[in-house]
Amino acid sequence: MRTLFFNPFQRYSEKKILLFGIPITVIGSFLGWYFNARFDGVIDLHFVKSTLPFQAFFDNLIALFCVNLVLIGLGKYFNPKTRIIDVVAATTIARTPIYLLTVFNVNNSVFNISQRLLVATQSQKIEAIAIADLVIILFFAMVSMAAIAWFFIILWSGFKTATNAKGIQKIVVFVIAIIIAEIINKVLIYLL
Amino acid sequence: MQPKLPIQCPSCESALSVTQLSCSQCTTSVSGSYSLPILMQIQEEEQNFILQFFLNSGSLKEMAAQMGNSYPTVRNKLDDIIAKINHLKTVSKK
Repeated sequence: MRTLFFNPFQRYSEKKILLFGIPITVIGSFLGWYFNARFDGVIDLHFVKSTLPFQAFFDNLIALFCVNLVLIGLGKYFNPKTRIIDVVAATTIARTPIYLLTVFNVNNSVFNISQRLLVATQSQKIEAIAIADLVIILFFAMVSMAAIAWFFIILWSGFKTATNAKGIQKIVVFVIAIIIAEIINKVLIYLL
Repeated sequence: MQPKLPIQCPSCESALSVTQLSCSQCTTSVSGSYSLPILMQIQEEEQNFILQFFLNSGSLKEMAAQMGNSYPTVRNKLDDIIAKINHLKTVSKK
């Protein structure tokens, strides 16, 4: 079970992983549209008032393009034998935890709470913040952090298997690469 | 049970060498100091991996299917063994 959720790349072929990864991306995009989420970064998710159909899908395409661009380049640098399909397969299923986060915004709840918190803090009426709102947003923040950690574990496992990368130094370079991919993603969203 | 061939000194962890060989038929023994062949200096599991690789005509895909692992996992294992053997070759040349 641990292998399945954190490192499926050790056991399952790239075709099987892609066979799951592509529908997961489509379902994740649908969830993004349904729960008014924008995936405006490789490791980013924002809730908005409303989203247009296909907006979340294009967000995901851009995020996948950016993360693959950086990780395929880094993978080839680490190990010229790295296959593109292994990196692509890893990036498609690694985003699963981020897609799952969208369900927290059922009836725009997280968006509405964050708006209320924003208004209260901007008008400096801290006492107006409902305890329930704070508890829900803190709980969501904790779950989000766990989801980001899960995302990194899956992506590193896939990248490590695809490139045979080992050691702390390569983990640090990998994290920097993800941050670079995030910056490229932000620039692309700004330009498009 | 097939006894495992020790390749490492249990005391100082240095590589062991062969100092005596004997004939089980006539009990003639030969003494000397012979270093183990490089393939004997790697772990038994790695030796078995190389044997499987040879028996599968060098097909990593077939090996992956047989072992229940993905292709890159098997390829990484092979790359690690190649790196280990290259290291042993460099050490033995010194």
